[in-house]
This record gives sequence, C-alpha cells and structure tokens, in this order.
Amino acid sequence: MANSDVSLYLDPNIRDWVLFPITLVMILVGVLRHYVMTLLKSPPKKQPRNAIREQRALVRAQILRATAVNSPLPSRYYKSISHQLSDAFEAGAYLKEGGKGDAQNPSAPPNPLSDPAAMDGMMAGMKTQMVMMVPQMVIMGWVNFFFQGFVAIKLPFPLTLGFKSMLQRGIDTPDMDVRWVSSLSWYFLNFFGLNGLYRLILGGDNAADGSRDMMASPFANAGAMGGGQPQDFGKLFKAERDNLEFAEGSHAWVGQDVENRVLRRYGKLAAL
Amino acid sequence: MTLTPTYSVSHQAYLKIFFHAAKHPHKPVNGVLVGKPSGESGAVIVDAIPLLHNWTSLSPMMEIGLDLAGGHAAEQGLILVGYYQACDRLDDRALAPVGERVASKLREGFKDAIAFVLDGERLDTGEAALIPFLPAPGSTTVWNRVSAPPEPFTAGSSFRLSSEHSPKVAIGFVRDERLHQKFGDFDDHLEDVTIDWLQNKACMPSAE
Amino acid sequence: MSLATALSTLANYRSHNSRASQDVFDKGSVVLKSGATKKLGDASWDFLEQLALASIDVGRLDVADECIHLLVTKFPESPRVDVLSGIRMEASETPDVALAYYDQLIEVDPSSGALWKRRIAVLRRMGKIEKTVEELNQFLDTFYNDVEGWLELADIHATCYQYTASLQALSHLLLLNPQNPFYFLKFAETAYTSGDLPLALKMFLVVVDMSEREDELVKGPPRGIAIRAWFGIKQCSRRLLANPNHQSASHTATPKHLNLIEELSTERILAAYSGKGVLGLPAVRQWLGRV
Repeated sequence: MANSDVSLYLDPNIRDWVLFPITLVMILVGVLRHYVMTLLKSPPKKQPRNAIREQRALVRAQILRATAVNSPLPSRYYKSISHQLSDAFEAGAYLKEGGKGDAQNPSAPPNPLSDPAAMDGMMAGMKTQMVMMVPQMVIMGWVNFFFQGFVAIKLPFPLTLGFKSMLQRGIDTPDMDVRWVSSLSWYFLNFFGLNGLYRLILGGDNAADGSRDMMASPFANAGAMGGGQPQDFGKLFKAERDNLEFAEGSHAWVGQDVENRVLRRYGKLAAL
Repeated sequence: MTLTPTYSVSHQAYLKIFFHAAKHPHKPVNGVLVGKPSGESGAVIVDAIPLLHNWTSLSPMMEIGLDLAGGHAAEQGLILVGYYQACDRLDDRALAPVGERVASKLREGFKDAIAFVLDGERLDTGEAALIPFLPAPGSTTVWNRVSAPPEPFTAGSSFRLSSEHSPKVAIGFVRDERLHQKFGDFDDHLEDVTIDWLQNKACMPSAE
Repeated sequence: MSLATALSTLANYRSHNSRASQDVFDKGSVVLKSGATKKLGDASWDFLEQLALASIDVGRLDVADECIHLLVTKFPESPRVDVLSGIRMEASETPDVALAYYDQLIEVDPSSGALWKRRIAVLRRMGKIEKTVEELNQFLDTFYNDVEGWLELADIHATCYQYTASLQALSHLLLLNPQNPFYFLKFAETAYTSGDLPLALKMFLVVVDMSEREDELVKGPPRGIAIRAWFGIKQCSRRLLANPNHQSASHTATPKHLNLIEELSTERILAAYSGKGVLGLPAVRQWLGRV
C-alpha cells in the first residue's frame, strides 16, 4: 500500500550535480543550436514576380471581405472590386502559369518532387530538422547514461499511475508515488519549458526551441505529401469566389447613415 | 486696337512666391496674386497669397482658399488678379491643368488675369524666375506661355518687377536667413488656424 | 543643440519617415563630422542612409557620396544600398542612365519591390505617364499592400483629370487602411473635384465621424484633419442646398437633413476659430455667412 505521505529525503547533491548541470547543458546546447542555424540558413530563394502575385492574390479577396459588414466603400465601388476579383479568379488570371483555364490544366496540384521551388523548401526544412534532432538525441542519451537509476525530483502535482513507467524509468519500485521522478523527466521538463528562457536570451524568433519543431515536423511531413505545401491555387481561387459572393450579400457602407450619426452626436438630432 | 497688358510684380509678391516654393522643394505649390488693375490693361500685382502644397490637383480646399483670399483682398480694396504655381520637377515649366482651370475662373472676375509658373532652373540665378502665361487667342481654357519678344522681365517687356533686386534679395533671404521656414500657406493654416497665411507678416523682412 | 538632442530628433524622423531634409542635413552633417556615427552602433547604418537621402534632397551630393561610400564598404551586396545608389544616380545622371541601372538590377532580382518602385518613379519624372501608370498597375497587382504606390497612382490619375480611376485607386487604399481617416479625406476631396457632391459630403462626414468620437473632441474645437473635413462639409452642403437636383455619378443618395448639416458645419468651423491667436477670422466669417 503506497503511503503518499511518506516523503523521501533527497540528497542536496542531487540538486547541485544533477538538476543544474542538466539545465545548464540544455540551455547552452539550445543557444549553440540557434547560432548554428543562423549560420546554416541559406538566404530565402528569390521568387519570380508571378509567384509572389499568385501567393498574395487570395489575400486581396480576404482584405476586401474582412470589412464587408462595415465597409469603407460605397456599394458601387465594393461591387466593382468584388466582381473584378471574382472574374480574375475564374479565369485563373493570377495563376503563376498565367490563366490557362480549366481545359488545359485540370486540378493537378504541382507535384512536390518535380516543382523545383517546393523541392528547395523541403530540403531546407529537412536540414533544420536534422540540426534540431541530433542534439536532442545526444543529450537524452547522455542523461540516460549518467543520470539513471535514482530519483531526482518530486513533482509538485500528482499524476496517474500510467506515467510511472515513463517517468520512473530505471527505478523499479512498484509502490513509490508517481510524483517522484527520474532525471529523464527533468530533461523532458526542461525540453518543453526552456522556450521562455530562450525567448529572453535570444529574442522571439529563435531556433533553439526543440519542442516547437517536434510539434511542427509531423504535420509538415504529412502536409507536404498531401500537396499542402505547394498549394493548389486554382482550387483555392475557385473557393474564394464563393466567399466573395457571400460577402457581397452582407455588404454595408459606413457612410450609409453617417449624417444621422453625426447630427445626433452633436445634438442636432434627437438621440434615438 | 488692343493694348498690350502690362504687369508689374511687387517685391513682396515676388518674395512670397519664392518663399512658398523654397519651403516645399519636393512638391508642387500654388497660390493667388492680388492687386489692382493697371491703367487700361494689365495689373499691378501687390501681394501673393499662398494656397496649397498638398494635393494640388484637388479642388475643394482650393476653392475655399480662393474665396477666402478674395474676401481678404476685397477688405483691402484689392482684387484677385492672377494665379501662380511652382512644380516639383525642375524642368517642368508647364501650367498644370488645375492651374488653367483656376486662372480661367479668375479671368471671369478680372479680364486681365494672369498665371505665372516659377522656373525651377532659374531660381538660383539672380534673374526673375517667373514665366507668364496668358490664354491662347480665341480660347478661355487653354493657356500658353507668353513668347512674343522681348523676354518677360527684361527691359522693354510688358512684364516687370517693381524692384529689380527682388530675385537676388529672395535668394539671400532663403539661403542665409532661412526666412522661408516661417512661411505658411492655406494647407498649413487648415492644420493650425494660428498660421498667418493671408499675410505671412512673420516672414517679411522688417526693413526693405 | 547637444549631440544627444540631435540624435534623438534624427531617430524620431526615422521612425516617422519624415522628409525634413534641411533639418536632417544640418543635424546629421554635424554628427558625421564629429565622428559620433560610431556611437550609434547598429543604428549608424540607418542614420547614414537617412543623411544620404537628405543630402541628395538639399543638393549636397558630396556628403551623400561620403555616406554611401561607408555603406557600400560595409554592405557590398545589399539590395537596400543598391536602391540608395540608384537614388544618388538619379540626382546627377540623366534618367535613362538611372533607368538602365535599375533594369540591370531588376534582372538579377525580379522580386524586389523597392527597385521596381524606383524605376516607376524615374518613369514619372521623365514624363512617360502612360508607361508609369501601366507599370504602377502591374506593381500594385503584385505588391497589393503598398500604400505609397496606391497614393501615387491616385495622384497621377487626378492630375490627368481621370477622377474615376483615381477614386478606384483610393478605394484599395481604404480597404487596406479602413481605420485611417486621412484616406477618407483624400477620397472625399477627389470625389468633390470630380463633381460628385453627395459622395464627397458622405465621405467628409465619415472623416468627422471617425476622428471626433470621444466627448472631449466633440465638445472642443475641431483639430487636425477635422478642420478640413468641416470646411468640406460646409462647401458641399451649401452647394447641394443651392442645387437640389444634383446628380451623383456614383448614384450616392443625397444625405438627409442638409440644413442641419450646414448649420452644424458653420458652428464647428466657428468653434475652430474660437481659440487664442487665430488669424483670418473675418474672412472666414464672411465666407460662412454668404449664401
């Protein structure tokens, strides 16, 4: 029967020689990783004008729609821009290859392996992932090798028994409270928690945080294979046309009733 | 037989046009000229009232400025006799479309109204840098540069400066005393109503 | 003027993107001569760029050359320095030379918006209006967010009497910055110039609606662009009252309560002129009173 009130007394040496070193090493490795990434980073590839235009075309429609309900534009001007965009999307005028229309180019998204621009993007992504993963593996191995077999810290919050196998690896006691964990879990705590510290030292946009890459990488891999990265603008444009039509219906001009608003504010008209 | 109209530009008017252009070297500026008729034909230009340096192609503030300037001139027994402009490009010596419009409108009130364009390339010489424009014969809306000899502002021409030292003095005031920096036009006044755009007393030298 | 004050003024100009060239030149050349540029650290390069531009503006190409030389030495392949060198070239060479320079750089880097804009600026200077408009339209089709570009396009159209095109360009600006009353004012003034009084009046009212919201602004005298807007409102409402059958090119309905609007604008304008040291009040009174 595990008595959760029984407390173990931990040697303060553990704190000095286990917790601080692990944290210190992780911080230093993180900073080192950031600088290595800055050196390794190749300058972003210059895109041709058509590519830039294609990418930003959707944003134009979004900008128009964003303020539709409280639009700065009177109805005529709004509709003119809306129709113009809609027609351009229909005709594929913004596509990189330049509006081939439906007959020539049915909905085949550019194959990531054959589109050179996308290929470069993927290579760059894989390079970063390599740099991220290798140090993590090394540190984890090091922690496992040197610091295993003893309890390092007590977690301030309780956990279920399911975590026992992961957090107490190397300490095979069936009864010990799950709150007592090994140094490997201190490693994981640091792994996820040092992001805040990195942001202080290295500024917001740093390459030192491993946890972000962990979350990003599974999705990026899946997405690229699914044609997410080189997006199929043709389809997106068509979808945007529907959005535009919908927004047109809900258009309202800020100037619609402005005279009454202003007159009321200055007391020239009775308040409602 | 029609008399050739003669025009004279006072020292004060010349200085103000110069200051206006000098204060906004990268922008087109414009304004009106006030004075009185000169004999049978022509005008004595007594003063210049600066209007705009922003959005000089747009009309609402220009119209309002013209009205206000006209009212102010009337108080002093003067009328609106002309229009001036300076372009942002040194080599642009044409009268802008908006200038033609304004000048034509002024002609309705004063039959000898004139338009001047400041010549950017002659600003730093000691010569008069004003190019006169008058309506093309038979037209009220198209204005042409006055090209018949003699050259305007030279001896014997129908255009003269009432003080021939005006250009040199103007350069001196801008370069050495920076008087033009206190200059304010209607655009400035609309942002700060304490700016003296109608008279610009603060920039005028106390003794001439 | 102490060095610290000079530096802070210059930094202020940089953050506001002001073109106070004479002032920048005066203060900046002092800083440059005294060798205090090093003290600025990383900001010294921004400062050198600022001083170079100001020197070109006031005609002191020697100082500009000095700054550019320092920048080129430090950043040999920088596109930003390339643009600056281009501007310097525009100041002393013929437009064709500058155009060729930009074309050459654009071939290497077609994605640079800055280079393309300079090329368009040179075209406008050369007077090639049609080509300028064509390229500016292409530019804005790609770099939609460029506020300067839209303003320039609107200005070019307005100078050529093409008010509809100007208003269309301004509409895009409004979409990009729907919270900024300044662009509404520009739209209103352009609409007025094109003869569309109801649209102009509505837009002037929107300017006032946006810039005088809080109580203290409503009760106090109009400030800043609100003054222009109230003048515009007075002018529009007066003309509409005099000409009730005015047709709006954009089919905008004439605002209701024109009488009240005109009254209110008169009051607001007089309020603007009610403070100390205001000048020109008699002329304004007369203008307001005249029907």
